[in-house]
Amino acid sequence: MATPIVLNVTNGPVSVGCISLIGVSSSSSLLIGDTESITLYSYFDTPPEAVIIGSLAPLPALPEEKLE
Amino acid sequence: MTLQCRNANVGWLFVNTVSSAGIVQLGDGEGTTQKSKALAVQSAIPTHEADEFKFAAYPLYYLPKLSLKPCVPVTFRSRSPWPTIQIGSIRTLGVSSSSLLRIGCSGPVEGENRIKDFRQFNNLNIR
Repeated sequence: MATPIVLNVTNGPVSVGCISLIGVSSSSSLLIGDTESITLYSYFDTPPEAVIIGSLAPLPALPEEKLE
Repeated sequence: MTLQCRNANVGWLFVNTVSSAGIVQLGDGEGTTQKSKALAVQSAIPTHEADEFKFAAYPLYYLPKLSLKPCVPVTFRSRSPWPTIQIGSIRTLGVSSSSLLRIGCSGPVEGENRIKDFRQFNNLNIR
């Protein structure tokens, strides 16, 4: 029998200025505070016939780097 | 497992949409269990067979969940000398598909989300 682990946690101050995000989706979580355990599952299945035919969105041109 | 919970001060919170087993929780709680299933179909011609849109028709929806075996027993204690969580502002458009936005302390968090996606085209020019 493995010796048990003792985990003592002392929380420091938590001070958050501003959080701005587009979305929290597909079994995810945004937690501010304490929690015991987190168990999250996300299954996503796109079969081969669900092929999206189209050109990939062209990436914007990289800014010119200044040569020192 | 002992958790010392704290107060939470939130200055400003904006959430546009909470959907599909999403939770926005302000403050402490026991724990959350969330489940959501989706079958997304986009087809150029509506040709549907009998049970094409039943969750039971696809193994994705009943695959067993893998879980970690606890290897070593852990005694966990947390202390919070600073009793307050300070938050200025939070802005998000969506909390969706078994997701959780929580400010505060809580028990176990469990979330499960299963999505199957179909796009059937019969002509290369149709997107």
